[in-house]
Amino acid sequence: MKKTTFNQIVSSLATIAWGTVPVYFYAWGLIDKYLNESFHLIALIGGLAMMVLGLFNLIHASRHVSCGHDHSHEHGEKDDHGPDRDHHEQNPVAALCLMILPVILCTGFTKHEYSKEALRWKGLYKQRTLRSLYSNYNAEFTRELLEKRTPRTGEGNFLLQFTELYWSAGDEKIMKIYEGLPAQLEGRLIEEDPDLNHDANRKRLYRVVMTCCAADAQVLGVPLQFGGSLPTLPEKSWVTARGKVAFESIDGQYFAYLKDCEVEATEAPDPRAQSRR
Amino acid sequence: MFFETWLPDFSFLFLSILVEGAPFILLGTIISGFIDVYLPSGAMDRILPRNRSLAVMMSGMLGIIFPVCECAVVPVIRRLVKKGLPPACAITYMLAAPIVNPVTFLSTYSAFKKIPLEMAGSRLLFGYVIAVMVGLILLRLNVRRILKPRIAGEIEEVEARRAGDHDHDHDHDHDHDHDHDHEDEDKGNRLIMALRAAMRDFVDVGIYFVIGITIVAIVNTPPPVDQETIPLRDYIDGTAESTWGAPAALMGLAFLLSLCSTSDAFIAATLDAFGQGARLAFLVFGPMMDVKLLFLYSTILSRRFILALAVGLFIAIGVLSVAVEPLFEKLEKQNDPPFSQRMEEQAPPRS
Repeated sequence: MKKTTFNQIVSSLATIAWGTVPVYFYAWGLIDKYLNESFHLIALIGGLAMMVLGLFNLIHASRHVSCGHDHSHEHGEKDDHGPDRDHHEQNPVAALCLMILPVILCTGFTKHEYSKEALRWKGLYKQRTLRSLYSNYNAEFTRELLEKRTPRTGEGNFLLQFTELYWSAGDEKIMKIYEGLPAQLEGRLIEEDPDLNHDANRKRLYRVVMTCCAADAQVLGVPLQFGGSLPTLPEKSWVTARGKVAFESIDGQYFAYLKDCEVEATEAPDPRAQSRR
Repeated sequence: MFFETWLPDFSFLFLSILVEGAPFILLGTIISGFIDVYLPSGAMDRILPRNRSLAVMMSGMLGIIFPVCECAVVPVIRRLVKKGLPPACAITYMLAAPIVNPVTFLSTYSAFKKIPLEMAGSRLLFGYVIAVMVGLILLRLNVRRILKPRIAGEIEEVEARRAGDHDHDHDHDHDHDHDHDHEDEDKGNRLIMALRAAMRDFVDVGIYFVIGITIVAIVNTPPPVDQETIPLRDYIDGTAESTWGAPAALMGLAFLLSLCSTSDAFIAATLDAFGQGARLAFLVFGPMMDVKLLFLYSTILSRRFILALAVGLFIAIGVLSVAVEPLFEKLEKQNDPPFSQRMEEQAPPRS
């Protein structure tokens, strides 16, 4: 086998390997764990295109081609797109090691979500504030307006957006508006940080918010305080939580939480249905 | 610990950046493959003005017609430079295109609800001005100081050949009026050549991309040894009140996060402990210089030049962002919408 043909085959395989990843994620419904929905279709089309490009070049790997013009001029010069030339900077083995192996290894090791340690690192037990939300609001935002614009369940719980409750902590006037509101939230259940759970009556609800891909994700967490025994659902279960909105200050930082909580297991929300809503 | 948590987290991050960025690299390399085969050498000279400074200024606006993000632009300019586009124009296009394009403008406009036009417009203007400034400086530099020696050598070869074509009366016909009995076959061959060139570029750039995203993924994965390590974001939030520290920290964050220019504005919008000037620095510096770009640039630019470019961009964008901060503060105060609207607008897009 000629060296150029071998290079061609290795490059084709590397391209196909890369294309397989997004197509596999899309086909198995894993893509929403990696990318924001706005990138799903781009990833699928890109993956398919990589596979087609790789396959096309694999099929034609041994074919000698030129663009049909005589590139050998009288003085022996070659045109700048000389036929079948190979200006590969990389050794094909490097292509194999750097393109194919990492993809295979990472696909094997990934659990398609963050570990508990990574969730903590990404802010699970932190409360961040959006300063500009509180800096200059006017008097029109009242409890009445909040109740009017928020849908309610049959039991009378307000269906708050997770982010809405999370960002409401931080400003006293806003917190007063939300304080005591019967609310229902959806999220994933995880154990509370022991430093924030002295009475051992809390769990935490969290959501992972991503803008582009998992690398830029922020983890938002809201504590759930239970009157009775703690739920025994497995870690990271999707749950519907119901309780009353409350706020507390820890080391000068306000946190929103739900008190007198009850939770029940639920299905993971369909991101496509969410975005349509 | 390493196999239980660090490696799965690293793999998760690595794959997420890979599946996000690879389609854009592919787009760029397919364009570059077709440029290689179908664009005649020297065509760019005929498109751009003869005046070099004007050519640089025009190159800064090419992103409006050919909108590409920072991953896709590198393979394209690699090929255009080999086709005779002056490096100063190519680098101006490379730096400006991810910012000066309609997609980025619209995403910035949607992300900043409070002062959308001002923010999107300033980003576009700053991106253009910085890129053109770099281009104008590069006009004075020798190609060999900017490009990798191998690529500089190839360009000099092409230029010498073209100069030779003009100097001598050649007998051969470049309009290809020799016998074309196998025209369809030629077309097929050219397509194969274009796609072969595209794949070669994809692999060349892909290897550097992997190195870049490996570093990004490592930086964003919690270290396997010490759970009390303070996350990067906490360090950065601590600089929010500092005049010079805030833009510097956000440029550092943009460098490490290596976000796509088409959607980084949504991240910038949530960094609201920081002033708009600092966030503008994040939005202008990120698409021009980040970890993955560092490696992608090294497929065409010399290491010394990349280092100088990184330092120059950091200083220039930092100074500009500090200078415009008071202006943004004024604008913000004028445009504050009522709280009830902002609760809906400023919460991160979805979970």
